[in-house]
Amino acid sequence: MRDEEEQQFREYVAGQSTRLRRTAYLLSGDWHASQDLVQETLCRLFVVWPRVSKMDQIHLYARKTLLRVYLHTLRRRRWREEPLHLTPDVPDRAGPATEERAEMIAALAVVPPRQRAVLVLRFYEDLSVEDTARTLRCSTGNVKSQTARGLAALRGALERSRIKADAKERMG
Amino acid sequence: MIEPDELRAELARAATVGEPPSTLDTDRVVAGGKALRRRRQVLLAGGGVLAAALVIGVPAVVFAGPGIGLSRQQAGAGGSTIEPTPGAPHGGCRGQTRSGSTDALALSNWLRANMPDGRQFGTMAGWQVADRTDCVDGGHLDSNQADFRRKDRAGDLIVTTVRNTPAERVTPPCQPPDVIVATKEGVPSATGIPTGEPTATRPVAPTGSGTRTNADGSRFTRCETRTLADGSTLTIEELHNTTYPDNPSFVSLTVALWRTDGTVVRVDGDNRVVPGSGHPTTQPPLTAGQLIALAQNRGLQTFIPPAR
Repeated sequence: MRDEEEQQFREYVAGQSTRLRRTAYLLSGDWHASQDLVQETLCRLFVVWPRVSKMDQIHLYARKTLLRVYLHTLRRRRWREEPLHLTPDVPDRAGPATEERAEMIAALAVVPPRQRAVLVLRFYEDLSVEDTARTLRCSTGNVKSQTARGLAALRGALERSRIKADAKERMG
Repeated sequence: MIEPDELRAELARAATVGEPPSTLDTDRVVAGGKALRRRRQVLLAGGGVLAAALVIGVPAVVFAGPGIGLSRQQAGAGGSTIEPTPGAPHGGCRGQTRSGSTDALALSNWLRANMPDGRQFGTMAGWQVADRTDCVDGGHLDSNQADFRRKDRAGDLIVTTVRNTPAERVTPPCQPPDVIVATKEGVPSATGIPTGEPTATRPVAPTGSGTRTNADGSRFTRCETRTLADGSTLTIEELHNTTYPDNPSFVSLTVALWRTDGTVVRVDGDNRVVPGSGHPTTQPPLTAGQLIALAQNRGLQTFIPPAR
């Protein structure tokens, strides 16, 4: 890789890693895991950078790689890293927004990984059904059905969580 | 009932509210990318010089040294012929690295079931790698490698089985870590271990037993060679390094079993700082005794690449 290509890559990382990390966070539900996913994604991107950097929409490729890393990792690993003494992510300031975030992340965690990926691509990354299908290498029909099932699972999880919160509030 | 627009807004909020500052370091990513590219391109063995490399923060044990004369262009080139390289040991070699190979997966699965305190360890896709290298002079340099990380993320374990043809000579422990120190390109990795491209520096004369302080500030606190009853040799070395910013208490414990047939089983345990934990672990993930028992396990030795 030429020096200028590496410089280009560094600029891309500086500019886009936050965006990738947020997507990775919605997929994994954990900031540390999302950082690992993004690092792996970017390392893979680096290997093919001389070719990818000539593409018009590099981020599409990066996002596709991220999704594959995420799904591949889930498929292949038989355990989930569960840090035993990690300090939990502490937001700058706790408040309603933080609680809502936690609620959404917890609800997303209930949704099966592939459906979660579809939801994140469609409703966070704002991809069309066709683009989502291309990214996940599946049919548009599959994306539609995964979306419907994912939404149902997410709604169910959110409703259960809200019912529980309401009950807690009433109790005291 | 959450509507699509509401979901969009909630996802956007969930992805940003309370977002901790990123600790992603571009230098680390580039170093990791180079290590990955290097790993895919070539893994050279022979002569017994140990080089440790990292991929996305995971140590990989590779052998460098005599094969270093192979140019990267040559190593990564396509085609089925290898042109001799004047001065290069073996006349030049071409390697193929396969992540998730059947052999390396089998090794990984065996380890998962037989590792001491195995439930404390996990592995991930891509952490099982087989390298098959062919050289102009007919030599073969083959290895299977499986990496594990403690589930509390406090340490990494790397197990490598190696068969070189011609057979590798025993390398005494505690060679100066010239081949793994950070170079201009190399920076501390996510685990705090340098990921620089291995330099072409050859090791100096064997140091034998005892301790040794190296030019890079690292220090071997254990350098031990044992000759076993069956004629094989066991080397044990413990390396400490306080110069890595991310892991100032870096400790690496390596046990290598040099079998009489020239094959090698290497087990390496490195500590690792868990980001944000505030509790740096100062011990390798397994004790020397556990690593030795693992290296000597006959079951593990069945995963040495076959002769060809």
